[in-house]
Amino acid sequence: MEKTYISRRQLFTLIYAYILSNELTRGIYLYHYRQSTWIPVLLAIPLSCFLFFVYSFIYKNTDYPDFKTAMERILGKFFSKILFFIYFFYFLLLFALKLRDLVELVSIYTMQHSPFWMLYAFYLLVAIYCAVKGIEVIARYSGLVFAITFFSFVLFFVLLAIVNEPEFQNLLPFMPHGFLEFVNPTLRMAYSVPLGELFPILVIFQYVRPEQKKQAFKTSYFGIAAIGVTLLIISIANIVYLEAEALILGYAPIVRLWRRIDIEDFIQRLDLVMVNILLLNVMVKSGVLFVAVKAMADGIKEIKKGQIIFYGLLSIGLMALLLFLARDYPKILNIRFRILIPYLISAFEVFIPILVVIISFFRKKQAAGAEKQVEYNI
Amino acid sequence: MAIFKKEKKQLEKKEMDNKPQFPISNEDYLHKGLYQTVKENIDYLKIYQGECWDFSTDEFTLENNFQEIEVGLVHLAGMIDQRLLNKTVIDALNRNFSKAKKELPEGEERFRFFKTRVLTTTGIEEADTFGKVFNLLLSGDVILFIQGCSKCLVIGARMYQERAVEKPTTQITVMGSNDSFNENLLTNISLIRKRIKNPNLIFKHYIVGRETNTNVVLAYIKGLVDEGVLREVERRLLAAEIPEVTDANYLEVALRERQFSIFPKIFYSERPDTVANNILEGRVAILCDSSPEALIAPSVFVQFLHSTEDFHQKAFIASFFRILRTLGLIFSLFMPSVYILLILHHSELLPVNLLFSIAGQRILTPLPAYLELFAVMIAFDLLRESGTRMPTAIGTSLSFVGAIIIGQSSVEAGLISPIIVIVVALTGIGGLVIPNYKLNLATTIVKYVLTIISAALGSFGFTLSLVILLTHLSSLRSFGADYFAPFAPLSKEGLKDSLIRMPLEKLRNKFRKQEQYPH
Amino acid sequence: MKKGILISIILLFFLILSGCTQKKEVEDLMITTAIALDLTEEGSLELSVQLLNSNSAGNRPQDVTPIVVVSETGRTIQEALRKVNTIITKKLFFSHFVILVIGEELARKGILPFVAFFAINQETLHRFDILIARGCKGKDVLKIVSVAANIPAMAVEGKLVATTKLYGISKIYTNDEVMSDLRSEGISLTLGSIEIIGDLEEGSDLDNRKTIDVRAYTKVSTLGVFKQDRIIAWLDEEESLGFTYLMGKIKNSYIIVTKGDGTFVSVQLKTCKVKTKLETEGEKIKVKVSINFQGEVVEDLSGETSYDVVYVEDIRQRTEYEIKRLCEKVFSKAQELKADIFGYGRMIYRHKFKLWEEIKDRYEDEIFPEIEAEFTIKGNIIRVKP
Repeated sequence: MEKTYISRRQLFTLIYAYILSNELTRGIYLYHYRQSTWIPVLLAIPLSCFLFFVYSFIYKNTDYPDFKTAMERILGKFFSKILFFIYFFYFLLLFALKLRDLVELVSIYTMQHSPFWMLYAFYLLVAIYCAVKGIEVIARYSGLVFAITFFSFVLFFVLLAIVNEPEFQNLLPFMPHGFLEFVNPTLRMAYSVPLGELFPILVIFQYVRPEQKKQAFKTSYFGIAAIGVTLLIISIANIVYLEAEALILGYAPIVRLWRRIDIEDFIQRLDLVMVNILLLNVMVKSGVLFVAVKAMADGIKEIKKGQIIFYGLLSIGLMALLLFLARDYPKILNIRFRILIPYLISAFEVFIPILVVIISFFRKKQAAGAEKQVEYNI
Repeated sequence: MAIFKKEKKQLEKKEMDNKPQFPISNEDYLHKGLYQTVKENIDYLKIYQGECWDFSTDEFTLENNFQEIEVGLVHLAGMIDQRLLNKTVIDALNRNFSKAKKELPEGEERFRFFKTRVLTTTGIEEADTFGKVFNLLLSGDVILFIQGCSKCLVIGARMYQERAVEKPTTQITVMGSNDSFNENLLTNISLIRKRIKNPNLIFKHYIVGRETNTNVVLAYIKGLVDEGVLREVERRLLAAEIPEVTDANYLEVALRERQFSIFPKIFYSERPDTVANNILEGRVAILCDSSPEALIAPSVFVQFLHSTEDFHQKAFIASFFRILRTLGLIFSLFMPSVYILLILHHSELLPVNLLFSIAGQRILTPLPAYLELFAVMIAFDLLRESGTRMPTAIGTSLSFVGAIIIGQSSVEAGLISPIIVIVVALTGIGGLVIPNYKLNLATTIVKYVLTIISAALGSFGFTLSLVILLTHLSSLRSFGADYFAPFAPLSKEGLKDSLIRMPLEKLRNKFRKQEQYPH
Repeated sequence: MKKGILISIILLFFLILSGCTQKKEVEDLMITTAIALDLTEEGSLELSVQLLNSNSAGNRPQDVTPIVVVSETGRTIQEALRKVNTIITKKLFFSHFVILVIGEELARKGILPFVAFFAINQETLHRFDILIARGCKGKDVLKIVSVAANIPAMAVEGKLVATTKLYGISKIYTNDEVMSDLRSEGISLTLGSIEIIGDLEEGSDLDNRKTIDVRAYTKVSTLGVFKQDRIIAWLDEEESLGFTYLMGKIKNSYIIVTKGDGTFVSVQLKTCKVKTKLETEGEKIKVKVSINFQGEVVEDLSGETSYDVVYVEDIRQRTEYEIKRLCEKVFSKAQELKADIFGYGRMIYRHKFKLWEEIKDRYEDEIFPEIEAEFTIKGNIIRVKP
């Protein structure tokens, strides 16, 4: 395989599209926080940036190699293989969750009568195609998607402002129960929704051009901040235009927001367009996750040929999992909220990486100590 | 009975051993040296081309005070200038030979005397292998065999019957020069040279095509061109063993990328000013004999939407028209699928009155919406194809009639609804706005694909196929350059001359490479 | 090339499949433009839909009626909807319906579940107007044809928009706002109403469109006050006007002022800015509303036109007085009904949360009638026409 490189700009758009796809499920967590839903988003931005900063030490302490070598240097071959093994399944789980969310949204709004297996099958085919093309193509595609999304957001906000009047009163009461009640959801959100699940980005990081790697971290903070600000604006717009009570009438309030646009009875129901734009973004996330999965598999055993078969088998497995276990959407939401987010995702996104980083510091000291010893011996 | 068969076979085998085999591989005559006598040379040539009607030989003896030398002239009638031959060659031979000062021995001295003293025309070459002799003879030169010389003289007296330099057929502009390439390679080279009087402009010559031996020329400016691209073009040209090159498009087969794609990855143009502009931007132009199209490598997607006219107008106006052209491209790609989406799957997006009117129109038509759209699309493409092939006398009136019959009458008869005609007409017009014919063809196919998928799967399918389209475009490469260059790896410099055209002051880097070559 | 052939075969497959999967052809849809809900005598729900007949549109329209009204009963909306399918030929298509008319009796029983059903439905537009049918049944409103518009529902909507903008006795409400008002604490809903003038029989006759003298038509009427989600009373015209002033939704309305000698003067209000402030001392709440207007004198029945300062000042004072009178009238009516239609309770919730926590159970019945309101009206007459 040739060396593929992505540039800093492409990393930015990748992160943007990746996190935007989390918008799909934001509505679910809004139920308790009504008019203050923008506060957790605001708090999540610096928290996510800080988390990514902590991640960055995995590369910084090992001199910016690719991911597999970095892990091996920190943990040693055996433990790193175990790490790859469990993260392989974790990434597949993320993929499955996102796919389920997307298919739920699509089947509510656009394809009400299509059977789920068909939607899964076509989506996975396209995801395989993107993954086989490689991360560089996905990065370029994310650039295009970023342009489309940005342009349409600007357009939609302008159209929204023309027709409706914002009522800023809707943002009150401001933190009626005090600050502490936001700590818990923010922490949950920071490592799950909306600005979480950043670990695959770290895996993708290895493909950044070598000469740009140091500055690429700054770009990724900027990217997280950018998407955070976008989501913040959307949350505030949701509340300001829609009023708190109306927010909870659906899974993705952003879609309900665009439904407000109704110009001369001619331009209306733009929420369908929004669903499709979200689909474009989710495809980026799927591509990135597939590539990360392959990177994990490569960590255990190098796969040179037969990429399509690899992805194909994964897809069939995912489809089987989703069709048989994931029919009941409220049940999934429940499991997610109570078990997955507090325990599983926090473990994979926060605890294990922090552990790895701490070990990397020790290793670095060890290596520095070993060098010093060598110097003295001479 | 069996005995006779056996004898017959043996006889046939004997005959076959003596005769030279047809078709002949290049190896036979390519490196064969010339004979010493005129007669043997001409006989050898006659083995191959003797039966041709235009193969003419003249054998005569030149006399002067010292000796008599036999000479032989071979040429293909119809490809040479008869008067030139008579006046300068044969005349000169007779006259100047008598001026010889001494007897010429066989070999080099005789040859040199003929070359420098006897023949007084310019452009005389030598040839010492039959390969070269055939190449030049079949290109239209006159071969002069001299008794006792193992080389021969080649006199350039070509006069082709060719088309004059006319207006281009497909890439017409309103302002600016309107000459186009014709089928003569030398004329084409001169048209480019007129525009770039730069000593670094190189026209490198190759002979391509096993059976056809066509002259192909690579044009580039040394110092501006990217060496990697140049090497790659050369490599591909020589590595692909194409048997026939009757047109530049066959060359395209050799130069093609390995990745399968509908989108054209080599730009072509029949306008010298476009080719000159591209050469000045550091690209390589490939000119082929007997082809009025020049290929340009590498090429990027936005090139297919550009027209030289953009640089004849002011920046703002040119940008407006470029955006209009892009809109035409978008129409031609997406309009039928969006129509199908709106009608079949997402009627909510239409305002009530429009919906009401369309529903009223569609109640009376028999076909389901997607089949109707398909039928009209295919009918439209048929009309378009027939319009290009027909002789002009019948062409215009028939297509006009066809449009009226198919469009109007079907609507009146209640077979199709009027809105389909509007949709397909807009699509067609959008497609015709695209300046490059190849992209037009590619987008037609993509349009069909998108329509089928939207009809079957709704907006989910449409968006997924949009994903595939964008990913595919982002992954294409043309000779190392990224195909979707100003958009896919977003580059600000490239964007200045893509969908809009910034004023020339801001395009400082215009005459350098626009694409990024990662390796 | 091989890939190309493979893809082409797959696509051919798709083309054939197009017929199988879900398909909503345009002509198979029955476009619903208005829905009405009524209460039958037995106490179950009657759902009526106004449908567009596509046969009457297109380039070769047939001579049939453009709309059809169909009714069915059921215990829930869903049941009634399914039953409607037994009567009509095509599938109901909700994306374009613009008005929801609820009969008065049904409104007295509670409208929240019905509004919620249509608001949550993903097919509907965001904005459909909810009107209460006053003095008649909802389905009768649907049957009246209109001269101006082909589709009567659009005609009703047009009337509503025009009334709200120019006359001010009604209001346009998106269904999000309706849901929000219904479910928020501290505000009572108000909705516009519609009534039929003339005879129903004549109104639903298509020939009604062909006569010059329109014999039956729908008329937009004043607002109705809700408590929880039940309608309890109607406001009259002056009170509706006052309500619109207090909410600051006047766009282009007028006021009639009586001069000293008893003649009437019309003042058109160009802009009307309202600022509301809350002052609380413990549980004593005071609302201070200041209205700032700019008006033009458009008509003076006594024929006097002058730019005299005295005249203008006189008109201005009378306008201020008149607006104040309307505001006070509607405020006292609301207090009498014990329904906070202005949203002051919601303001307390937003600005003084702790106070709200204490009083929210008692707000509607005890606190609201005790609120003091102070109206400060100021403005200018900027022009005297002609």
